[in-house]
Amino acid sequence: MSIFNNAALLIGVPLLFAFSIPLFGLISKQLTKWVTLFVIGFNATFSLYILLAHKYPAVVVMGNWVPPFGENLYIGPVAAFLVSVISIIGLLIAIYNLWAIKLGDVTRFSVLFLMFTAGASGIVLTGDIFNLFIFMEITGISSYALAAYGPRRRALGGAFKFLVVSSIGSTLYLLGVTLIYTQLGTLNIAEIAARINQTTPGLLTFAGILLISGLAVEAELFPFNGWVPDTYTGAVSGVSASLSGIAAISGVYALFRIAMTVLGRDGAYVFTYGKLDLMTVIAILATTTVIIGELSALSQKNVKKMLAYSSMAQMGLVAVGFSIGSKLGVYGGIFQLVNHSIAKSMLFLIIGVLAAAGLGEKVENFRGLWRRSPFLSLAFTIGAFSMLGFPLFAGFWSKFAIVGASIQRGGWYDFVIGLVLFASIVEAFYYLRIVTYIFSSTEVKAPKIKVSLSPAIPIFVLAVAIIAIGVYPNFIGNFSMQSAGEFTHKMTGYVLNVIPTIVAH
Amino acid sequence: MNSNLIWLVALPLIGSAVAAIVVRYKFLDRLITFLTFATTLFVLFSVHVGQSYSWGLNFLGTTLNLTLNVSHLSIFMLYISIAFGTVLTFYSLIDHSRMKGFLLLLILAANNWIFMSNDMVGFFFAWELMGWASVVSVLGGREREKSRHAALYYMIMSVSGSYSMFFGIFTLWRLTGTFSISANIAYLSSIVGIHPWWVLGIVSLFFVTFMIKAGIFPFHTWVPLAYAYSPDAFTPFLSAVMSKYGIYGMLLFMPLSLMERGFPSAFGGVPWTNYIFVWIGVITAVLGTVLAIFQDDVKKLFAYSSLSNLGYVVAAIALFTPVGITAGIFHAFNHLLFKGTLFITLLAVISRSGTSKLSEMGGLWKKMPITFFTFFVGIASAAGIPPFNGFGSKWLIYQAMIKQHLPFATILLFLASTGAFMYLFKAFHSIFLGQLSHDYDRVKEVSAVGKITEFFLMFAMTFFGVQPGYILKPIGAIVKSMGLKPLPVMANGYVTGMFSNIYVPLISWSLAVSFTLGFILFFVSAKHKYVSQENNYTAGQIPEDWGLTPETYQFSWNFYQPVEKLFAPFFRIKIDGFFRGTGDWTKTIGSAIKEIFVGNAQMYAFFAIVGLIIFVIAGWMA
Repeated sequence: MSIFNNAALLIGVPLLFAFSIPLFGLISKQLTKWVTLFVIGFNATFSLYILLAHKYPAVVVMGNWVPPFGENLYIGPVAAFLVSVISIIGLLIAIYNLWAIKLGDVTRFSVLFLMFTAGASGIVLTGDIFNLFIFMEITGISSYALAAYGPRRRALGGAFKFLVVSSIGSTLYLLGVTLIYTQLGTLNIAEIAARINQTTPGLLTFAGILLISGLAVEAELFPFNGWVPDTYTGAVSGVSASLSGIAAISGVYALFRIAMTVLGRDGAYVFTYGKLDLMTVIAILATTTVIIGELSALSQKNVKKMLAYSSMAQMGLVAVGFSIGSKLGVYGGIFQLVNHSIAKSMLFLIIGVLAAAGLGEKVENFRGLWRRSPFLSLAFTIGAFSMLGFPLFAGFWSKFAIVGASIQRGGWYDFVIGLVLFASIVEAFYYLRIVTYIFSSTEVKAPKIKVSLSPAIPIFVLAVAIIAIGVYPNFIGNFSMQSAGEFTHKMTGYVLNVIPTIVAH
Repeated sequence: MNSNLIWLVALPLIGSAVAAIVVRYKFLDRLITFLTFATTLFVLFSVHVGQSYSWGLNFLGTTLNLTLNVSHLSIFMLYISIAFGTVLTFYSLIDHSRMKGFLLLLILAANNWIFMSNDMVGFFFAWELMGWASVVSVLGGREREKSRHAALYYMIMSVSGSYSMFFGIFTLWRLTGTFSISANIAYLSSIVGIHPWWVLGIVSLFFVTFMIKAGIFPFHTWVPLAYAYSPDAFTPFLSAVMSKYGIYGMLLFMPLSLMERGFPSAFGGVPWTNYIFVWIGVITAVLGTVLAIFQDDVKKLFAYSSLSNLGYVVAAIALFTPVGITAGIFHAFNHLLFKGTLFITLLAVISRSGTSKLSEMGGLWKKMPITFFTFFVGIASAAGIPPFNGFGSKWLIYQAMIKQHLPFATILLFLASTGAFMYLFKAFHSIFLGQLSHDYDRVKEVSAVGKITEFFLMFAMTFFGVQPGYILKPIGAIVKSMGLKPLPVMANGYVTGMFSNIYVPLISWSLAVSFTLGFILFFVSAKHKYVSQENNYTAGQIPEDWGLTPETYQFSWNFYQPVEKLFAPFFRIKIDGFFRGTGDWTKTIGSAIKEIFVGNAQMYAFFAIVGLIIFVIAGWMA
């Protein structure tokens, strides 16, 4: 166990600045956006330093109380990797927001956006299931408010739905935490993970169901994902991008940290507790989510809503990957999670730019976009192709791994992946429909779309990242591989790094 | 380790990146494309059978070895595809359709990778790359909206095929633990006697993909759409080269030779799996021919013609006899050459006339004489008329069928060949002969680049027609590498069959002499009166009185109406309807499912709670 207390700054700095931003707002509203940008920039730099200088695995202890006694953060391969991704995507969205967020209460938007990023980073970093709840609430509450931002009324409706469903989820999660605490008397993830067999099987099953149901809300799994389409469609595009690019990462992370590390067994495929196999439950939910998401998107004429459904379906695919439980499957899941965040946040940003240029959200409005803006058209195509898992784009490798892992596992996973591949054909249809509209031309001469620098930078960076990963998958692949080890081997990968002296019961 | 192999893939990729940057300047894009093709062809000269190259990809937790391996089959396919691509891109320098050179280069990279790959990961990667690049290439034909629909349709078929192969690849991987193609095929061959059904299932997953790509019945429905509505300069490549990927894949898996080991045989000593496949080929050949006869769009006509020819190829290779495989590969080559030529001449005609409707063309031969002669040689090849290249392979295919005692299949193939005369003549007549429309008074022959290409193609078709040995020798090596006894090749001029050998130069000379004699007789015998193309033949009637518009007055209007009436009952059966029905059905379900997400907040909360309750009950019961 090495201690690296500075890493607490990853949560502390954004939170500190979040609460002091109103002071900056007194000087200038524009300044608050720049402050946000720099703070998240600090996070991005620092987390990349941790990742690339290989400062992990390390534990951050509060007030010299070593785990399991105090609260701790744990920076393993997963946390280092995901915090980097969250901060970098957050940074890019903050650059986009410089241009996009002009109306309304810019100061409060900045506060909320910083809190949102801090919360998402906190979820990934924390080593304590109650703190996980707190960070979930921070992320959640700031994202309801963010989702309601903007002049449009439908934003309010979406945000309210998100609020209701997400609150139910938090409550269920908290109930689950309570049950575990009554059994073991500890909230530390590592200690619970080591002592999980000391609980009463029946209660543990119930607690597991509560925890997983609660976390499935943020991970967008059916039937807990009713909020997704309306919230994504209603929110301004920058917020939709952060929901799919940042909140989704932390949501899936939380779900599988609980399901695999806390409730799971070491290095095995099957995680049975009581008589209920939680991983099977997740796999069923995930497959249903994929199919429902893709089929709902099929007949959708609104592109933003289509992306929302697609987001739901992609989260299902990620969860299918994780639920396989083998190292290859988890690898594919994490890789797909990151690829999806990159591509989907880019697509939402593009929609935002197009909306600002007066282009509607209907599929037909995309007709002839190639003539109007080659840059946005190409970026959209790259994002769509990455979603579909075409080679030379990032999505190919992760989809390849997930399908490979499913078929390697065999049994009823052959059936699961058959359904998923069928859903992928549907997905190919609706994404390609937009792409073909983009490249087909219209008779009507429409003016060119000017993209100013601040939204162009994030879109360009994300598009280049997709191709870079597609051509050279090892870069992200290596981190995903290390992360997969942390999930599949909970004792050596997680617990013993946090509490070296603990013995599994 | 031969690093020249990697250049066959890397060079087109680099060329593609460069061309993509300058894509706005069409000529520069085309020039880079042509130069890259030519350079790749040059690199190919240094590639020999038996070379291999592999590199590690750190993926899936282990180091995956991506292997390139040059077999007899791959070098043959590489030569014919790259050589044709070079000719096509040379022609495309003067072309104005919306083909994008950089996409063609992406396909070239995939093309070379597919033909050399000895591991399924690389194969799949290249296959998918080829898939999406070709789909995007199809966009941007002359008729935008139709081209968009065609691309979508093609995409869905292509993706379905890829996923089927995806499943197959990993199933094999689960069984053998390796991605190597040769190792997996060896494994399948070893278990085919014990578990024939398993092997059949796995191989079917691959064959669906290959049949879709080659456009074999019942997966042929995308072919006419994609061919007809793709950019005119891309269609030759789509038809000539890209349909061969499917054939290549089938040839890879054919050495399984399901016949001898696993399955009981049907008629003529052919195992029934192969027997069914022969019939699939025959049906494709007949179907393509019949449908081609009735097309008015010339690109659609030749799309169906391609379908028909690939049916011949599949029927021949499915026999898996020495003469069958030889005939199949030979016909694949011939089809590449003559259909590529035909589509290039069509490109010339369409670029000059601006239409692909047969009923709007006519009389162009005086305006475009060289194109006319190239087209003439092309259809003579396609019809299998001896001095040109289509003859030898069709002749061998019939021999292969008769050798296996499949009389009905042979008769149907003969019938398809006769039908081919009908549609080829229709196209020939409607485009080049007859009355010239006044719209085309100003039509000119293609420029020098086009003429050079056309002369070259004419030469190639005649050369390989007269000297088939230059192709039959490498095919013999392929047949030998599959473990069959190759046909003896006596000399370059001979087509060596099962029953008899034909010395093509002799036939050519006798034909040439008899034609010359005929012409001499024609010129010396009677007096000729030369009439202008405008000279009418309405016999004193005023066409308008009979309800004839200038359009219907064109002789190619309802060219084969009696035949069409004969076949009318069969047109009611639509394979296309099945796929579209599946699509509609999926859409309906999609709309129904979407209703889940139109509720309000209480509804979603209710879903969540119900979900939780179901879990709890499930956990309790389990």
